[in-house]
Order: sequence, then structure tokens, then C-alpha cells
Amino acid sequence: MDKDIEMLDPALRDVVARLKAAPTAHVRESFHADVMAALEGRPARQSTGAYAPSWFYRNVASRHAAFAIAATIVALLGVATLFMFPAANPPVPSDIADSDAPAIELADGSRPATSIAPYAPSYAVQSLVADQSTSSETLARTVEEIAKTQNADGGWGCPELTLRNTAALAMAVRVGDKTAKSAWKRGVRHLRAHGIPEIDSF
Amino acid sequence: MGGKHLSWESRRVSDIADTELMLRAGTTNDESAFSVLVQRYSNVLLNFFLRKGVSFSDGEDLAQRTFLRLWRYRARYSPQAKFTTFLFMLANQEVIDFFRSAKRRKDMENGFETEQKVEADVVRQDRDGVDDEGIAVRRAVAGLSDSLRDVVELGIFQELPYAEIAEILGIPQGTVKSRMFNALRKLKEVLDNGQRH
Repeated sequence: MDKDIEMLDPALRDVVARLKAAPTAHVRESFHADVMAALEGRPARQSTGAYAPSWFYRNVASRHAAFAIAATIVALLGVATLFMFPAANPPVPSDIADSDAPAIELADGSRPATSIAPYAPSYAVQSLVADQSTSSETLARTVEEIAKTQNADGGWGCPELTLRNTAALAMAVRVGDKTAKSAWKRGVRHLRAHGIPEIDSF
Repeated sequence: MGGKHLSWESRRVSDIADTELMLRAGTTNDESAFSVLVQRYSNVLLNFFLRKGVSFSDGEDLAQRTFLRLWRYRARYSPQAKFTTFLFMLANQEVIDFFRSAKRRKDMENGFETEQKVEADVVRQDRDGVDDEGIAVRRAVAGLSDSLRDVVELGIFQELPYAEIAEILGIPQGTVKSRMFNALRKLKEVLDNGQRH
């Protein structure tokens, strides 16, 4: 390079001399030790700027974020599974089962305003499924009671009835009732297509 | 080499060439050989980054990252390449990554935070005994365009001949000459103006 510099204009040669003579900066005393420590996997000096991710981000925050994302996915899958496979023995709503069930038909032959008659087959299926001595024929007959009132769109004309009947059919399917399967699938398709009704519509 | 091969232990560390140290680090994972390279090039790299316009603390961060990258890539080093060429190639990648950082680029454009750091550096440099001349030269070089700065960096500070600079940058030797001329003319203008103020 010196030979190349000699060919320059004298004024520019002075600039080169000035650049070369200019004092230079020096690293901190601990710099060398920091680098060698980092090679061996020991914690190196942390960046003072925003350029390097902090220890917290590299070791804690990023792992927690990954865990939170995984947990969210698992939770969403769990919720979706609940809709696909209702619990084996969902409790009968207490307001209807305890107070209204005995009043399906009154002593004078009339029915109260809040009859559970539309829901009777679904309650019956729940009860029969819970009883292990129930014959498959009895269960199949009860399932047919639900299936024959199912509309072409897979529902039963009422969001609540659709939910209860589909849930009952799911329980029957779970214990091996083949007659319930197609009605249950159509009920599920109906629920998927129309969504789960708002609580106010009950 | 004179045909006589001296053992590693029998030679003074200062006599061992960079290439041999790097090969030793690459083939036998010898940290002591690598340690010598770190000692030799810490300040060289720091000043290389400072002349690119980064702050002192960022310059140290970048130097450290370059050494870590050098250690990671030690097995890729080939003795056909000059050690400094390999080192500055890695250093250049580090500084490119640095400037690609959106926040840093914004800081550079706004100049606010950078100026604060430069001022802090000035205080630090004064404390460390580096006078205004060093800072003035660094600022002047940092103010050059990338193409001119690369030629000055390799030609003046790394003292490489025009032919080698042309090879590294992949440009004709005549272009190196003209860029060097333009760069020095601009530097003279900037430094002279600074002296008058």
C-alpha cells in the first residue's frame, strides 16, 4: 500500500498520514475474558443497546411465549372436543327434572304450560344409557323416537331441543347404538351450520 | 518458514501467524490459539466498527459477536484465504445485520439516540486518553459513502495493496484508485473544515 500511497498527490498523502496517526479506541479490559467466556457457554457481557436480545427475552420470555401459544392451542382443541363429544352423563337440568317432571300430566289429564314432553325422549335416552341392564332394543326404540322427529336440516326446530336431542344421541352412540349414529351426525352438522344458540334464546 | 518446523510450545505466541492460529482453532478446537487472535484483533475490529459510524458500546458488541461468529465458522476457514479477509468478511456481515435492524436504522436516521451515545463516547474517549483527533477522523470516515469507506478501510487502515482490495471488493484496480482519490479528497475537505472550526 505504501507504494500506492507514494503515487498520490502530496496533499492527499498528508491526509493518509493523518488518518494513520489518529489515535484509536481500545476495548475494555474485560473484553477478552468476556469473549472467551462466551465461547465456553458462560454468560457473556450483555449488550447495552437494543440490538441484542436481553437475557430475559432469550431465556425466559421467548420460552414462556412458546408455552403460552401451545397451551392456547391445546385449550382450543379441548373446547372443540367438548362440542363434538358431549360428556357421558350430562346432568339433567334441575329446574325441569325436579319440578316439572312429575307434572307431565296432571290429575285432570291436562298438561302444564311448561311441559317437558318434547324433551322426554332425550331424558329417557340419558337414563337408559346410565342403566347397564337396559337392552339394546329398548335403547334403539327410544333413539328412534328422537330420530323420527328430526327435521331434514338435522335440527328439531328449536335450538334447545336440538342441543338436548343431539347430546342424547351422542351418548347412545358412545355406548354402541348404531341407529343413533346418522341422526347424531346430522344433528352435529346442524349445530355446526347454525352455531351454538345464544343463552337468551333458551 | 525456512523449512524448519518449530513446535507450538517452543515458539513465542507473537511469532505465530494468524493463519496457523486459526487453523489450529479450527482443526483442534484450541481455545488458546483462538484467544491469541482475540487479543490481536479486538481493537482492530472495534475501530473498524467505529469507523462505520456505530457507537462505542455497539462497536464492542459487534466485535464480540464477530469473534463468536468466527469461532462458530472456524472449521470453514481455508488457508488459501488470508485470515484478515475472512475476519473482515464476518465483521462486515455483523455490521450489515446491525444496520438492518429497523430500530437501529431509525435511530441512525433520527440521530437522537445515536448523538447521545456519541456524546457519551466522547466523554469516555476523553477519559481513556483518546483526543479529539481520533474522534474527528472516525466521524469523517463514517461520513463517507459505503463504497468509498470500504476502500479507505482496507487501503489505509488495513494497509492492503490496491490489487488485493480490488480482489476483495470485486472491482477493477482502476476503480479502487479513483475511489481512494475521491475518498481522500473528501476526507481532506472534512478534516480541514473541522480544523478551522
